[in-house]
Amino acid sequence: MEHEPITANRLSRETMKRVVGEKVGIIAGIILLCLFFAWLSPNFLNTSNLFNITRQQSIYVLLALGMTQIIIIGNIDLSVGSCVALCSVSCALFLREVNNAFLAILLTLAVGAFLGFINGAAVAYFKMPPYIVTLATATAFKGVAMLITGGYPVNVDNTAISSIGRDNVFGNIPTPFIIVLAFVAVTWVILNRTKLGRHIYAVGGNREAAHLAGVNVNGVITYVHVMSGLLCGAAAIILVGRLATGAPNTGTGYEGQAISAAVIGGAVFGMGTGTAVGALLGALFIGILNNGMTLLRLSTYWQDVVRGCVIFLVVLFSVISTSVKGNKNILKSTFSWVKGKLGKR
Amino acid sequence: MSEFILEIKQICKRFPGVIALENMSFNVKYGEIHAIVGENGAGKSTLMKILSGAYSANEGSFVFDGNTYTILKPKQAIDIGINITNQELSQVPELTIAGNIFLGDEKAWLNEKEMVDRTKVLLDEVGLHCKPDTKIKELSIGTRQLVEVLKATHKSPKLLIMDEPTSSLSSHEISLLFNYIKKLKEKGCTILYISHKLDEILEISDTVTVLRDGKHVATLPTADCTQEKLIFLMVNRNFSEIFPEVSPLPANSREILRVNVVTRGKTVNNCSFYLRSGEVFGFTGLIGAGRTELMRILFGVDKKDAGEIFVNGKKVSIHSPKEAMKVGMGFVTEDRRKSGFIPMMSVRDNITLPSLRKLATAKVFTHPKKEGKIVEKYIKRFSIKTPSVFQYVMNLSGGNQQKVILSKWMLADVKILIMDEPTRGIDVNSKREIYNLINEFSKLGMGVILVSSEINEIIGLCHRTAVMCEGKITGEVNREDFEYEKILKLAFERGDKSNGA
Repeated sequence: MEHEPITANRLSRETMKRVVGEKVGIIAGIILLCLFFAWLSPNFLNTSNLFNITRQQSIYVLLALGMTQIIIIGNIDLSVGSCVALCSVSCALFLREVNNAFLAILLTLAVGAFLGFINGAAVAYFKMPPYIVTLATATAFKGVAMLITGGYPVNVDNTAISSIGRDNVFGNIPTPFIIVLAFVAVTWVILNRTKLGRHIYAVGGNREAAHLAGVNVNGVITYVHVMSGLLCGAAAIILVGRLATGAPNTGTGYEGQAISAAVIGGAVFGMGTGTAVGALLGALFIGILNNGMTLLRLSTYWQDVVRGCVIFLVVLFSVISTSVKGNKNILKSTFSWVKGKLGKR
Repeated sequence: MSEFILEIKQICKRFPGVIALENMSFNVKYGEIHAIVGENGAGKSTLMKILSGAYSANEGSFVFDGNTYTILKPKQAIDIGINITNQELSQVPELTIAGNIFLGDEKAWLNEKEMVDRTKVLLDEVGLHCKPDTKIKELSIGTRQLVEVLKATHKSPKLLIMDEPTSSLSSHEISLLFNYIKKLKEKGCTILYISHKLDEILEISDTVTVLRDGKHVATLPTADCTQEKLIFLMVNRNFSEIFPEVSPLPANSREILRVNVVTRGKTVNNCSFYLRSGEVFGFTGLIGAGRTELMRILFGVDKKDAGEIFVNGKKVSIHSPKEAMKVGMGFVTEDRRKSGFIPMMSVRDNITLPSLRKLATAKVFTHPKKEGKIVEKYIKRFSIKTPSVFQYVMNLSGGNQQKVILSKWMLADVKILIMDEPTRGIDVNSKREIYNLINEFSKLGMGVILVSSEINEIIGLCHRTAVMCEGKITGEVNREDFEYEKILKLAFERGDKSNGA
């Protein structure tokens, strides 16, 4: 093989190739989806509608960021929804007690991080299976949220918190979306430019090899769950801001949304792949799909069917493209994959 | 009908970069106990896997009981009467003995009583006094291995292949097994017996076939054999040109590692040795002798029950690979794919992984560009064949993957490099390159521990070697006294059998 020497130019070229290359599918998907809905519904390309999508999806982007990192290391978190519920009632209760937005935000983030720590410690140090652990904590977190509120929503009257959820900045860009972009940027830096990030990918790619290369595997696993909990806390704050209430029954099904967004964004279980930008794009893709279907007055039952099928197909394609090694053309690899499956008969 | 139950005809089997079997041909008579011997990598297991349907041959065929076969599926092999007892136990611990013996062979409606009764008969025949409804997990490892043999024999196969059946048996259990094998022979069952233990082969078999480097060397009656003769047939080759010249230890060489009576359960038993700077110290022995286990303890992967480790004269306690790296150790593992590298990570990221702390600003922020330039140097120095530093390591060939792993430890600036079977499964040319690198490391003053089952590698590369058998170090040999037979004999020196060597 010819060896090309490394230059700064080449490095940035390779980085671009990798960053864009892995996202080509999802970016093309978003564009196609937008064209499709713009064609069918005149209201879709309206700026207020598009910004509405970003506002709606803000919390899901945050959850997807956490879930992507969890999927990178080969785990799963089913407690995300309950974690958001508990964080949002905590946030509302803190505000009722102290009525200081700054303090409430810090405390809510701390609650989220602590809940994540419970999951992470159980998985990393007690070697408990993540499915079961987070299923158990999901039930318990929800129970605690119900317990401390008596099952009733807690109303919030704090302008600072409400502005986080409802206001716009720089003209008409929703504030929550700006916050979300900041989180995406920070996560990107951690994943791509720090030792910790490299270790996260290493643990996901081959836990044993990472351990033997001196990586603190348990520490990395715990960190990732804590980070996911913290992002749940951030999502809860935005949610409380938008609704001006902390309700113990919010968050139902959020884990499904987060997993779908992460997977559509390119995270693959047990492969050590997934990116911050992927999580953002995945959540936006789902948001556009939901919004478009609603504009087209598709019944919610049909919406569920379509969403389910889309996720199924995305995972199928990712299986195909990884099982047919070295073949980058998706059509070609699909063809040879199908041929291989039939050939085995 | 011919006198042969099995005629192997010109079988070839190739794996990427390796020729496992080359024009293999020999015959096995009806009703005999036919032993197959050879070094690790001689092709014994590959041949058996072809006969039992786990692999298919690239070329050639075999005649079994009058019918010719080229490709066989595992189920089909059992149907025509070929059964194999595996070296690795493949049992379900939660099921009973009876449940395991009949696993995969049950009727739609379980007839528990019939299975238990038939199991009872089998157990009596071997001489095991345990109940058929005992769960497998409650049995000792030796009993489990005997149950594995029963699983293979309950359908009365015409040909029974036994792959290292005594590897975890006590001497009492071995005598039970041998009696059972003789009973099977009386019933007309033909047995292919694969073992490293030459004394056992001389005791039990009628005929011996010797394999070497995937080729058939000889088939001869056991009565004409001695251990010395078998060893000579197994080895006999010229290896001087493959290995670099080993230079004598420099005058300033000093002790950098001392291991004192390290013990872990039964696998590692009171092991002591030392390593000097600039030295290549070998560890050889049979598979399962406890070499890998000892190395895992040194590197902090597994805990030790007792013993002390000194690095540069100072006592150290190592509880994790991270701590082992802090005192300057590196570990090239036996199973490259499983634990050597991160497959979906680039060459660059794999090489810099243990050194990120050193390369990062404030120990936190990485510099992909700087890392790329450093890795570039290693690619050149070790002539790693890769299109760029960005290539995923899984896309490289075995030899180049190994060179990535070596670069990783060179960059981490290790002083003690443990290499466990570093040339397993890679082609001859890459092997030679790895040998040269090992030689180069020692010239740089690094201490290298080379674990290898291939005694030739040990003889070709090491200044000194330890030989292990059943968890103990059975001997230490200096380069001046290297002799193949001597080392091999130490590898067979088992504690519980005095006629072992």
